[in-house]
Amino acid sequence: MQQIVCRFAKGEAARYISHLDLMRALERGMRRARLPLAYSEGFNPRPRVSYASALSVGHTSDAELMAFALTAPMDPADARKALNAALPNGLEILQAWATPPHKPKTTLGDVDTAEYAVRVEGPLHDAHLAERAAEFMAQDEVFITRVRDKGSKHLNLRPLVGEAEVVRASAAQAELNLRLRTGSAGGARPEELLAALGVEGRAFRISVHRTAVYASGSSGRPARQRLRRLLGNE
Amino acid sequence: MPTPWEDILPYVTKPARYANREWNAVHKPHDSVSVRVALLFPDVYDAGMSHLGLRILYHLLNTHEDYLAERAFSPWVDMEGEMRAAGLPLCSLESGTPLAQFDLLGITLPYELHYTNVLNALDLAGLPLKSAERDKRHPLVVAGGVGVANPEPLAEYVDAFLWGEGEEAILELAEAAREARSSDRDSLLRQLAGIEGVYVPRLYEPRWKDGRFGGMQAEAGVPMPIARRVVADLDAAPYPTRQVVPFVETVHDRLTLEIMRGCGRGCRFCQAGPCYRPVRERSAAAVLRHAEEGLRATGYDEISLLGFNSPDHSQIEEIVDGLAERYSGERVSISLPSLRVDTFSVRLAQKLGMVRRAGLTFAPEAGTQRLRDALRKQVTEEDLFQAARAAFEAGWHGIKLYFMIGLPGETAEDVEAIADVVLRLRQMGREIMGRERRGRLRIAVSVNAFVPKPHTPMQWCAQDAAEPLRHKLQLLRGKLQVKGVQLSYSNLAASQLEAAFARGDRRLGEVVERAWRAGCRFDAWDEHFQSQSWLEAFAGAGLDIGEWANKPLEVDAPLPWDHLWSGLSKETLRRQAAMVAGAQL
Repeated sequence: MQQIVCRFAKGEAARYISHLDLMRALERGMRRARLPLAYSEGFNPRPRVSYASALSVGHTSDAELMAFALTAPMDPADARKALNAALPNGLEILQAWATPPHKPKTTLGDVDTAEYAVRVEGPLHDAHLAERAAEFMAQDEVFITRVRDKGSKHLNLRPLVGEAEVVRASAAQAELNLRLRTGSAGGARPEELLAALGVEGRAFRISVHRTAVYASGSSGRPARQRLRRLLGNE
Repeated sequence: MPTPWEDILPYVTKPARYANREWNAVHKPHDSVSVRVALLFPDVYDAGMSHLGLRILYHLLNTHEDYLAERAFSPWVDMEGEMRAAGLPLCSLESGTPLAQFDLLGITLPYELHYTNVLNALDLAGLPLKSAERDKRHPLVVAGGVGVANPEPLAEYVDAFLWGEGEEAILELAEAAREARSSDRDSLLRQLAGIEGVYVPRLYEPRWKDGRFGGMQAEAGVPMPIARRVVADLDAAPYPTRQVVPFVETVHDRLTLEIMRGCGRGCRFCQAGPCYRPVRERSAAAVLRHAEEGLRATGYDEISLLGFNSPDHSQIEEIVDGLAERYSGERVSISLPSLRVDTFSVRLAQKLGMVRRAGLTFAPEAGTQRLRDALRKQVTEEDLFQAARAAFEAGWHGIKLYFMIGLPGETAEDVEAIADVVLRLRQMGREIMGRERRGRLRIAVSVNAFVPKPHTPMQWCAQDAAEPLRHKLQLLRGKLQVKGVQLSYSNLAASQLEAAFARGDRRLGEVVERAWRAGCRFDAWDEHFQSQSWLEAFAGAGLDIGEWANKPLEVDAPLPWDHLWSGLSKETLRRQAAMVAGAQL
């Protein structure tokens, strides 16, 4: 058995599909590409595919990570080519690695951090976005209310935000680089941070592009080198 | 290239419904063809994407070098609100071209409860609602599908209906649509009437006699009656294997393989016989070939075999064995949704590996042999119990049963018999499954009000009134409130509407329009069906829904769909109808 890890992009044409839609689309692409997928055991065998982090509906990315298992070894470059020929517009495998033979099973569950490039268009003239971002980062606690189907929840957003940098801002447009926690242990969405900075509602058009996902080190600092070692050389 | 509705997608639910770059979607440049066809399914994407007719037409038109076809679906209610607020017209999915700019707008009519969606789509497209108000500045509007069995309620809104199968006719219609923007509309429609199977309502005038439909007067030179268009050699008919693979989860999200058309059983309530005749099969070789091509082209891991009473296919065992052999190792699931009530069907389902993975559905339709005989549903109680036994012994935990209530001549005993049969099946299931497993037993009972359908022997029968139906449902609910049995039933008011439209004449067009203007949409969806608005629409038009739904029709009176010829004579239908009545004595 061999495992291949991929970095893939979700682009404009697939911007609005959900994570479940994405999983289905990739799986079908793998079947069209005739990849020798390995399946799980049991009553309802599923292809062994895992994802680092779900990407929200409406966001694009060129940094998504996925791993899948094959029953027969395959050159990752060939797998990438075959899969790209069988994927719909908007989905593209950018890089593919084989996991090192001594580490055949890699899960992407360690990934807990994501970086985003966010563009905002709208009435920003009085927003003082850069100041508000700095103010936000200077706090220890900023509480928000998260509304889900099952009910609403109060939580402290601040610890989930590693970085909120306003790169550019004008009266009608702004660009921000964000680093937020993501994954099963709990994460924050760019829209939540923007709302905390006063940018929300239909007057604004928010465009989110994910630029990186990785596992932070236990020290809390990003550890891209560690991930590279985990996955094998790039 | 961004779609015209790009900016509003962040504000609607399931925005991926409006994504247009699905795998196998065909994007042909508009200037590379002479005829552009928009295929509209009047329901939301998730519900309409899997429709086989739509897939067939899409494939046929796009493989023709001089035509193109793009899809359009009814936007969901939130999307519609956003579109109207933004002044965005209804556009095709693939290129975002407003429907009003196509040469031909082909609308699928699956079911009577989609009528308001049809009007809504025309309105959202910016088109005048009535056929008479449209001309060469607008696309030709043609409708086809099962609903054309009686299309009269929409007769004033549609330019032409296709009665029958579309494979050949759609190409002829597309060819005629070359002139859609240049020819005088009246003469073009007259030309369309010359295509076999095409019904152009403005050339047929209904007569009225004592407030009732009194026959259709056809203009000189147009066919009367209009014969159903049938594809003679089904096996040779092209089949779409490069099916569009949706991003979102849709109803029937799998590779659909048609194995046969029509049904030879002759059940008296059912339109499948008269409206899809003659029975024709695709050969086992073709089905297996389509399976291979289809799976490669789509990447689906599920196949569904389509056909009424599929086990009747003369090569069904070859098909089932062939598919099971070829795909069981590849983790491709195969389902046979249409079963006969017999052990043969259960064995087929077993061979396909459907045990526990896919449900088994049986349609006894009635609780007593007397009523089943009246319906000509050739199922005995022994058949049913043997099939159920085979299912439980093979390992299935559950079965689904379809019944109708409100059948002509039905008594309380007949209704109680439904409950009685279900409870005895449950008992048998529990015994077979034993103490360990019986907790998992699930018998799903689906009960629907009988709807008289045009072109069937029971077309003259009345639908039971609301009160008796409610009482019967209550009776069943009371008796079937046991562990392991799940009762579901159709919305009775919606069923009454279905019956009224199924047998309605042109006067009901006004009712549809009134209901639509009052905000009715997505009437087939329980949560959107507005019973009150429909009653008001009838009242506003000065009409009584009961006249069409709940009164028996005179066997000798002209019917609003007589001008559409199914191939079965009225005499044949009358004779069958007499047996329905006879079986009740």
